[in-house]
Amino acid sequence: MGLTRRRFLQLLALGAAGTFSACAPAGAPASPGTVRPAREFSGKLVIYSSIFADGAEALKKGFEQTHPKATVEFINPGGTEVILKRLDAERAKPQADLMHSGFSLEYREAKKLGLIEPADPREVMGDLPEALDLGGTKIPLKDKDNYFFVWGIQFGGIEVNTERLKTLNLPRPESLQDLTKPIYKGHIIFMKPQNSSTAFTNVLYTYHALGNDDAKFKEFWDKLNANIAFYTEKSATLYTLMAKGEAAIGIAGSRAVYRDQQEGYPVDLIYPADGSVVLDNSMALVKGAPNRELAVEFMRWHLAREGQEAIAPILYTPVRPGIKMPRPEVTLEFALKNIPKVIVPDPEVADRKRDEILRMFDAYTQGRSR
Amino acid sequence: MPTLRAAPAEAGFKAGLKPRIRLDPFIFIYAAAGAYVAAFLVLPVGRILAETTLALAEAETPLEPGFGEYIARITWNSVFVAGSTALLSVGLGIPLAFFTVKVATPGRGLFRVLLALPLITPPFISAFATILLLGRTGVITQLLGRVGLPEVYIYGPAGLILTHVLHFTPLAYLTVAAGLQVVPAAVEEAAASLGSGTARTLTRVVLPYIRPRVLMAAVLVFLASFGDVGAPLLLAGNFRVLPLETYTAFNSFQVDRRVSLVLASWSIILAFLVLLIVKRLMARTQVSHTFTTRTFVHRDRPLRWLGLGFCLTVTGVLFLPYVVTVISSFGTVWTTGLLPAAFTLRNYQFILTNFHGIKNSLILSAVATPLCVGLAFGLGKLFREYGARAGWLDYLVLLPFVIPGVVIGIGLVKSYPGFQPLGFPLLLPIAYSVRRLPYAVRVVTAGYSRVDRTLEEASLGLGASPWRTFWRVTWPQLMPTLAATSVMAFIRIITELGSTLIILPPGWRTATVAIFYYAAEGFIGRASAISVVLIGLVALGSALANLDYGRLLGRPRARP
Repeated sequence: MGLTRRRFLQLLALGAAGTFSACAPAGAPASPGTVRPAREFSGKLVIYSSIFADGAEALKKGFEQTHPKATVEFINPGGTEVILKRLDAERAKPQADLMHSGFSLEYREAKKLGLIEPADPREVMGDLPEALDLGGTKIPLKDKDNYFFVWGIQFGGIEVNTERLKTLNLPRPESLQDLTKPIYKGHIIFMKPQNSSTAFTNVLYTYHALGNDDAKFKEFWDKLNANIAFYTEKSATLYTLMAKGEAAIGIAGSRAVYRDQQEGYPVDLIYPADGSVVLDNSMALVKGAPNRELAVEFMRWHLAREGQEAIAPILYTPVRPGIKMPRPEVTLEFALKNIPKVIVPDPEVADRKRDEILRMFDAYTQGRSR
Repeated sequence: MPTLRAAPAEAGFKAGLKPRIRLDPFIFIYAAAGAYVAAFLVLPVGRILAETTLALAEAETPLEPGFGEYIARITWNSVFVAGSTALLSVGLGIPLAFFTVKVATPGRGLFRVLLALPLITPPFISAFATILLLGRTGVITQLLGRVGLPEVYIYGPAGLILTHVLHFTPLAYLTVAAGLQVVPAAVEEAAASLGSGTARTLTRVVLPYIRPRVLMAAVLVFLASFGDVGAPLLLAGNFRVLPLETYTAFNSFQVDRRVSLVLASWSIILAFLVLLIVKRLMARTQVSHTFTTRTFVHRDRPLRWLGLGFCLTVTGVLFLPYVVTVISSFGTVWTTGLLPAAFTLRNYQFILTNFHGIKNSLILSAVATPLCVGLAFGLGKLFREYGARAGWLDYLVLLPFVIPGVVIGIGLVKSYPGFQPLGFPLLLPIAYSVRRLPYAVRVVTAGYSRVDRTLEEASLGLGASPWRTFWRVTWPQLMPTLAATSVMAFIRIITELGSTLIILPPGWRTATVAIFYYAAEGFIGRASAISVVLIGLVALGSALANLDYGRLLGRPRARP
């Protein structure tokens, strides 16, 4: 079969592109939207992450397919707080390359504690913007000093166990304020903000939802605390108890609720009329990471299309638009249409109010200890 | 620690010879055991406590007002739960031990194996089983509801005590049963010949004889309950207990570091106080043993059937959590029905493709168990030979009972960063051996107390060296203790979680960690399936360890 002139020119162009690509400097950033990485990476990448096991497996599989010579090991020491403890304990000789999962407020703590280090956003984010625009609300996708980057988001809301609500003949709450009504007394569970940063982020969001008004905030929580049956130590315990029907109402994040719903549990998420908080799952380089280059490549891959597609089946809302999702509820488009008001936690307020909020909850939780 | 010891034969003094001072031949074993404890327990924990003390000293602001009241309340809560659990567990453990050791109850061998199984299950799985049974949507709660009875509220002391009793009664049972096995037949035969009935002999002769064992069972259960974090994590509700508060204070970066120090130090002081009291009580009730291989076994028919009925009932109740765990392992989701929504084999299929967790657990436990048992035997001999002079070390060994595994894990990682000789994560087996040392030491100490000193003295008097005496006279008497300690240590090691979460290196995820992940993430069926496989494997191992190989090989067995 003869080679046409046009076909010959096409092959020549491909060869030139390949030669150019091969001559590019090692580690040069590739466009995160592309499927192929700039070059092959090898070695072992150790990631401390509080992501659930199936999520870790999906990310590991995806990255190892892209880089067959690299291996990824996810370790979950039992939550983001414990990850910080472990990183602190290993400070003299870091064992992990990447800190993964947990929300940006926790990464601010890691930054303050000197446990993470910045990365070049051009390498990590490629063509992603610095913030997502959700109907005028800006959701930052990176730290201003480039210490951490957001790879997926969820929205906070009111979780209900529909069967339990039915058994108790309780109406579905529609707003945060509804939760303070006496009919819900003893039917709500919440996490301890002293131990759970998910809980702390949720509490901070109620402060924002109430217009950053100290008096209204205190009054709201005094009333809500009176309705709370008990506080769980961890967010995972809350989801487990809610799924089982041990409580009718909880304050939770969207991903776990939709995941439990997908498994067949009778749970649902209500986006409160007074606002839903953005829970931004982040990642950062561990300070002194033994395999820094591979860790940066993982972050790049995670924010590129392949990495964003890997988290779609596990119901994290990707930060890169246009990713096909298995359920409409976890798309940005759904959020834009259905969430009445999106609230982004203000890190400055978090720093300023942290001690006060924790003291308030010390009084709530210690005061009810019988 | 004393290094020199007078030669055991005091005859030289009496004969007016110059006394010989010679080195205790076991000194190197004691030194090695002491160094191990110092390096892997005292140093890491001391480091954490020192760092936090420094923070306490440097702090400019006082602790929150009301902290004293709070600590008093959580202390009382913990003592109440642990005390109630100890009382109930020992109350059940004594008759169970009596019926399986002193009565020829049909199937008593099987009961002995079955009753050890709950200990293999991680406490948080037991706690979840309590929810499946008695939670607001639990099976028993639903059945109670159908006959018009109210819900049982398990989020608080009732749920904790129930879970701990179901989980720790086997610990009390095993300890008391080991004591009953060495009650000399002659003692009971003498009582019987004087006209004493079974109940009277049990209460007036046998129980006083094994009182130290009963106390030890109570203290083991008390401390195990007192130090447990797994069940309170799920079931505490608003009822705050000391170990949970310590665990969360250590884990959180948002809690004042001083709080974790105060709570940890207070736990240690309380544990020491408990041990001090129990040791005093044990010393006052100690009975000198006469070495014997023969024990008295009641063979009356009514008693045997009573034993069968009792053992079946109690074992049935203790096994309820495991029955629901097995059902859950074959289920999809289990919410408000009496059974899961559907049945499936997918949880077990998952294990078949992810067997490495169980394999890792078996490998790490197989390395940690000999370390723990060896250490316990070294320390046990030291305590026996040096008595009160080594007593302080006995208290030190108790530390891991009350210090959360997370704290020991953090201490070890800080003290030995990246310690992986030949790529093997040795720090994990080391952590396990230290964490479970209190159990092993208590069993070994009891074992040494049964060794007949007169035989050893006779051997030494006949000119045998201390080494030869140990291997030829003492060691054969310790063989049952070796088996019991190994099984107990292995069972407790394989379920260790706290320190694993902190030390776990890449590629070494254990079965317990997998259970923790899946239980926390709502994959209860999957977590249950891993628990069932783990229980099955360890039960098989325990059964094999307890097999009478001599009998299997056709050798005649000495009749008890």
